Amino acid sequence: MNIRLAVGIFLTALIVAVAIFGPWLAPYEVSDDKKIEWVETEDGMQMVFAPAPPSRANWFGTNRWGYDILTLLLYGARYTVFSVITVALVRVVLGGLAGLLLGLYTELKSPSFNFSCLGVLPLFVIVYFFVFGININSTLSPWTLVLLQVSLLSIFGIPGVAAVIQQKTGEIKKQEFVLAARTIGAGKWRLAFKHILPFLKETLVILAVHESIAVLNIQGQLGIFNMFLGGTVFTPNPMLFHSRTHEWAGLVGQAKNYVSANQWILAFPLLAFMIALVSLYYLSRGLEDYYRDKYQPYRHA
Amino acid sequence: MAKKLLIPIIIVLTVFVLAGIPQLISVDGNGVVFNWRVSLDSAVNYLKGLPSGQSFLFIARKMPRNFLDLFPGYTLTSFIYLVIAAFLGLNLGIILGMFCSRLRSAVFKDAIGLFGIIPDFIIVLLLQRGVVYIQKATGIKVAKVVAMSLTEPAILLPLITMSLIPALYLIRTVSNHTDFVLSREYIQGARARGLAPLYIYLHHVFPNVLPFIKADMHKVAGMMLANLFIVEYLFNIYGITRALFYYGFQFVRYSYVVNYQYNFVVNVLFVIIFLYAALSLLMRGYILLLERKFCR
Repeated sequence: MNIRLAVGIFLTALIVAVAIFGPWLAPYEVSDDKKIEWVETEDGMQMVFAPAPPSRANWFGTNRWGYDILTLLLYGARYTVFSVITVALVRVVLGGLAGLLLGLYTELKSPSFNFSCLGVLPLFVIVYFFVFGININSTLSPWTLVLLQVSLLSIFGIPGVAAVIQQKTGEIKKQEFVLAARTIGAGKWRLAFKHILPFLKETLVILAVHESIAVLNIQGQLGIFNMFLGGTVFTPNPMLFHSRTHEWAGLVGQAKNYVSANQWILAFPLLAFMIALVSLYYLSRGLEDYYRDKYQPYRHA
Repeated sequence: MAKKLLIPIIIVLTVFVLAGIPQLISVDGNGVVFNWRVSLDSAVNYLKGLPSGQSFLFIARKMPRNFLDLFPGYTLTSFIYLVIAAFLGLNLGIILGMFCSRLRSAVFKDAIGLFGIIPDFIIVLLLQRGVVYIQKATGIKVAKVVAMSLTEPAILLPLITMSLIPALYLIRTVSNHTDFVLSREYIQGARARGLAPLYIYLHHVFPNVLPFIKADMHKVAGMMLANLFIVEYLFNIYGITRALFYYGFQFVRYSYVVNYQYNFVVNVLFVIIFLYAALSLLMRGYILLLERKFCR
């Protein structure tokens, strides 16, 4: 029984479900805010100010402006989850294709000077430079901005995936069955898609999960620097940054200063973000275990 | 030879292109526009202003400042944090990594792997949260959560975060390489000659693991630099990467103006690339020194 895979699939499915059905599950509308309200306690009626701590009415508490944090998380989940899945898939499909063809057509040599001078700067800084001009108080719609960021993150991830697949293809290419196929006259495309691709399937699946983790990290780092997925609202007085879409990295980023007071504003988005990471980690470990068991040489005694 | 000359040219070009991108891409009405002219002019103006020193001037808190006066301090701060963290992280990672290869416990490997995927900013936020929690529970302030001024910088938590990142990476790679080296015949030979396990580890395994990680040092330097951005920003450390985001991309209070200082960003990017080169050379040098010391 592969516990890791079970946990990974269960948690990932849960998060995807939250992303799909989030707005229907949410206890409030995303625009509802409660700045002050009277609550009945043991000591009689008491006034509760925003930010209100977690209570029966607001499970995860409310933020500084009285918005229910659970509702924001449920509404924002779709942006985070689907952007991560899209970027990972695009990276793996296009990078995999490029790597497969590169591996087939070129001889493998030691990695030469490729993107090494871009490698000095972390990816999130490079993406920051790209989105700086379009992300803040943008007139574009949130979905357009999501699309732009998703394309940027995808494009920058393709070379990394391609390099891994190129190397793997180079190794498989040397095996006898490929030589045999070549001898009976298989063309390059047939070799690539009928003979080599089936052997890359596991690598590609695991790579997709790894890429999802990497994308989630980068979104989180961009969130810390106030570049939120789907647009940042910047107000100069007081100087504040808000996520337009309430995606999870944005909720963490805009709450990053709530370390010592009103901690629930940071704690719950951070918890959601970490659950997403942990579920992907267990999914990748579980898949690794699953494939290892599946392809392990059979023990006869 | 031609290739060696090409690399600096590509680096310089990359810096100019990258620094031009925030000006290049902007939004006009309902579409994205590309202002090729503006970003090209910025690059030309930077080069023109070099002889007179104009390119080193920038605005910090509405005051004109000179980059040449300020950057040694910023760079030194970042460099000191990097060097200490690299020293701690390298030693911790190598020692624990070699030790870990003896442990076959799945739980331990799971824990290391899980730690490895937690992004740096979450580690920072959790550490800050932990210190506040301890202070509230016991009244003891274990470490500074964030620097309030230049004279009282946060030291402990930034260094923990910054050394944890390379350490975790090295633990994984070193334990893999140790596994590989331990299965080689010369280790069996050493065992057969009756050498003590500790001696074998120090003089046979260790020197043979080092070349693998020496090749990885530029990767580790890249990871540490990425980490530096997050750590300086969240702990308010007055280093070079914090300066990039505070003065390069200025969000002005009381107005909707967002200032982008091209010249400043170009200068900082050059310093960051220099820092990267210095750090990776230093780490390679350190590994080389270890090799000399333990190779028999």
